[in-house]
Amino acid sequence: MHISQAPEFGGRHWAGGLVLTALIGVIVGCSSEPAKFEPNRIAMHKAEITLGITLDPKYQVEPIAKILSDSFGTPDEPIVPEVEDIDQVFDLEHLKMAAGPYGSEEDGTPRGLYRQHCVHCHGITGNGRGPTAAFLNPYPRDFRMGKYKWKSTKTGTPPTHDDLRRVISDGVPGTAMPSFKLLPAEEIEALTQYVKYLSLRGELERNLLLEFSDLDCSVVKPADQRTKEEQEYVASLSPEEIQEETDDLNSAVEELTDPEVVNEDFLAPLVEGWAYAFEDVTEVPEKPESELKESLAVGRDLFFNKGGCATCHGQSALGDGQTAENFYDDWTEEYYDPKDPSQLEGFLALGALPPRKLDPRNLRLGNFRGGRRPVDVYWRIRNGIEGAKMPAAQQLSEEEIWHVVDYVRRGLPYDSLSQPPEHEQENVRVRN
Amino acid sequence: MGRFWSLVFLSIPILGVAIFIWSAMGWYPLEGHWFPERVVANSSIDHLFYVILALTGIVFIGTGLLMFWFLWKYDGKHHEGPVFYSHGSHYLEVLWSVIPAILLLFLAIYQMDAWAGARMRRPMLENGQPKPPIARVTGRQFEWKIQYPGADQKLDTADDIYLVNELHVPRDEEIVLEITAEDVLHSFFLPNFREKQDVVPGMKQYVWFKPVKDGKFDIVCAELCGWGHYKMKGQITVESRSDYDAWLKKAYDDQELSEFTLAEAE
Repeated sequence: MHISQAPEFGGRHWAGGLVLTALIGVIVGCSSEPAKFEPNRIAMHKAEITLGITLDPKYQVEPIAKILSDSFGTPDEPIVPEVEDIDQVFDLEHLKMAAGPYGSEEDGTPRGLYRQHCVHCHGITGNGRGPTAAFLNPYPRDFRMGKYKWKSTKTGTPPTHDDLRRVISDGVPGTAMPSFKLLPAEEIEALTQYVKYLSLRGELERNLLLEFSDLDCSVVKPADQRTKEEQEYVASLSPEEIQEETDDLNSAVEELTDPEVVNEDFLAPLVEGWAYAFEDVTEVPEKPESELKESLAVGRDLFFNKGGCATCHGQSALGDGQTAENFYDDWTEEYYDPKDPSQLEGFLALGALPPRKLDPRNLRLGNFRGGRRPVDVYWRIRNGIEGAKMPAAQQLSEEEIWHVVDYVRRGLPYDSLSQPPEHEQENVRVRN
Repeated sequence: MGRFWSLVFLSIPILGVAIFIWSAMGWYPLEGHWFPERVVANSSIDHLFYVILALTGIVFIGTGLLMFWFLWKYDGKHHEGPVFYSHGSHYLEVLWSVIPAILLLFLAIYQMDAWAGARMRRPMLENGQPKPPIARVTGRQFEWKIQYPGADQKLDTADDIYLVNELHVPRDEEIVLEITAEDVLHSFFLPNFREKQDVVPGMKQYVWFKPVKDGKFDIVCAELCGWGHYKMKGQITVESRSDYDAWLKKAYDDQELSEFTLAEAE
């Protein structure tokens, strides 16, 4: 009887397989393109709708992209723009730790920290639209507006370095932002600076867009892209006048793209705001000595009456007061007007996330997104929350705010409805 | 070819055992592939591991050698004798069913004390009550939230201390932790403490251990809980009672910060 033998070892099949594997490796390995910053299409679309124009790629869109890449570089190769005081905001060494693809230098210096830790939610451009963003509630922060909620400064001013650092280190309880406390201090510093970098870049882009969208490009547009008004206007001009307008437009674009103009007129004011944010910190006076019980009673009264907190946070502080009105935060309201939702489709097509209603906080969960320290709660009440609908409590004195802080932190019970009693399973089995 | 295949099959158990011993000895380049340093007095988990390792190791080596021997002896080109069919041997079948059954039964009984120590014999107070947890650890995508009961020793009161990823415990004391989850399944894993327990949302569980060595050690998540599972990492610090008390007081004072001046902002 003949028993069939296993095939002989080796041969052409093996070599062919190896070549194929190597080939696939080469193709997959080399075809990934370097990361790019995306233009702020939402803001562009918004400008087009508000002004009733179509932005011209050559005169309005490309110059902005060029200015941004000249001033800030690319996600792999960041540049520090040459503006006064920029060294107070970030430095190239730290930006390089955070930027670029994930990895490390030969001496062990980390690289690509932003892409390692942040990018899947906040996106490569810092637009808060990374791959996981759509599944999160609330959505990740879009850094490009330069607005932040959890900070010690007033609405309208950037957060301090320490504010941002604390959010990265401690996370934001009650949201998907986790704590990065165990990262070495240098790495948290690099990420903090990179957040500022993305913010500054995003703010510059917005301000430039405001300027560029004001340019009248009707004379240089292809005839089929002009609106009716523009057609009539161009038709009414003589060839000399058209030439004159084109020259004017060219010189206007040239002036706006001049690095000195960009740095002096656009970047310098922004950089100044970030560099000296610590001067705008709202000081918190020492908490006055008072009996907790009395303070709670006063705080409770303020919560319902003079403070007006209950109108939104509700009679029982469950965050159910303002149910009739639909609030949205500033980041959503940029592309969504609840009174006129007709434009929403266009923005969603450009990647905007579906609007989510902004709920007043349920204060009975014992959960403080911006921190639970008395100073944190004080800042929330004193300054309001930027970008959200929480107003600054101008009508309250410092002492009164401290009473409300006490009431919010100590005077509200943990709610059994919002925090159902837990299954009291011990690790013991009761035998009969 | 012939006996080539029997040698190939022999190389598998030899390679397996070699890599195993290599990493157990911590030789280059397999350093750090064995147990991390143990910082609790109780060694019952390690002991159980080695007992089971010895049993399975003997079976593994025995099976490997036996398979090699059959392949070598009955190779088609070298074996001239007639084919012998052993299928259906009643004695052999009883033998390879009963021996493993006895071994499994032995393990089931042998491990009972370790299980009871880890799951049932919770440390008691002098008055016979179960010792209250020193802190509550809540798993959340993707961090470990820590809540200390504060001065009144009761959780969920106003003087609780809230921290993230930062757990401190005193040395040479029986530590009880309350562990739970907020969103999905996690697994609370302290490799140096030989402690691992899945945590389930809505379910309160307790783990206990007695650290005997100072230092900072990892808290990791040992249950795939989402995209950020790999970085769901905390740190447990073992220190003397006085250091622990001082740290806890500082954490409370930081949390109660009630004044902020411009000088601090700079």
